[in-house]
Amino acid sequence: MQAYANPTRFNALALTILPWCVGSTVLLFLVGLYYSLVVAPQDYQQGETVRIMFIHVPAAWMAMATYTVMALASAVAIIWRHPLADVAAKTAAPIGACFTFLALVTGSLWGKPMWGTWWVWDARLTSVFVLFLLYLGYIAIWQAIEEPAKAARLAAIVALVGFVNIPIIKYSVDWWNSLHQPASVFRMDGPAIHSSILIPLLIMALAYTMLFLTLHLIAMRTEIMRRRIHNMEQAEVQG
Amino acid sequence: MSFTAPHIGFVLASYGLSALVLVGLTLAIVWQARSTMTRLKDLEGRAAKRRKPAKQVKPQ
Repeated sequence: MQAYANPTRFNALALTILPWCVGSTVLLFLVGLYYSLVVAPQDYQQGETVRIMFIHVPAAWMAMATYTVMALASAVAIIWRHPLADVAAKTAAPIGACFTFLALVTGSLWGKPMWGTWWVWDARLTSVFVLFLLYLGYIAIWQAIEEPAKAARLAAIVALVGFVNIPIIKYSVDWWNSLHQPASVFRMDGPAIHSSILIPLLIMALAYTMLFLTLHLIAMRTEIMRRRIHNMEQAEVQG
Repeated sequence: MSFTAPHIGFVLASYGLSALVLVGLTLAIVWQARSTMTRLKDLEGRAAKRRKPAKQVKPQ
């Protein structure tokens, strides 16, 4: 891994894998949407609204996964001072914020016809809303502090402290009485949903994962270029 | 998918909003990448010009 700490090597690697990432993202979305909107049957209770699950659940998974990536990268930045770690954490945040926003809004659009309400302050919904605020706070730190090293250190601490929210989101439906249903895919005794619903859900989850990987690679390359520009401008001013 | 099913508006709104946000995010990231690349190439070009000494033209 240390070999890829070099931004030049990282850029070369990213350029090699980016076309494959873009291709597989487009392909997975096409197949996933076909399965979600055409192949998957109506649910006997939810009717057509079950199709919201194919975009809501992957968005919620990616909201948590992206924050986990951000926290891991922040830990690496603090402990090993890996040159790309804070670049990875910083560029993951806006993508994660978008996934979290979509999880909240699509959940609300599912909740209104199924629960009869747009929103309830129950443990799962509230903890995901807190995750959204953590993303916004993390982005705000990078925007507010001019000195990159200071911003990176403070943002990394916030990301690591906020990581405590991830297990709270995951287990909130088990620890507290919640209107939100418990886990139905990642369970000790296997998924509790039929394959006709599970397959489109997993394809869409893969599509969202590949989209994250693609966007994150592009955003990391941009951030590396931006830092190079900053250094060159500093050199121009001094020389 | 049946377009006459109850609550279909909620399904269409979910997919429409998701498409809008994800396409918007993708375009924003790609646009930032392109403009940053242009700026970097411009700066590198200027730096290369400064480093290169002016060539002396030999009298014929």
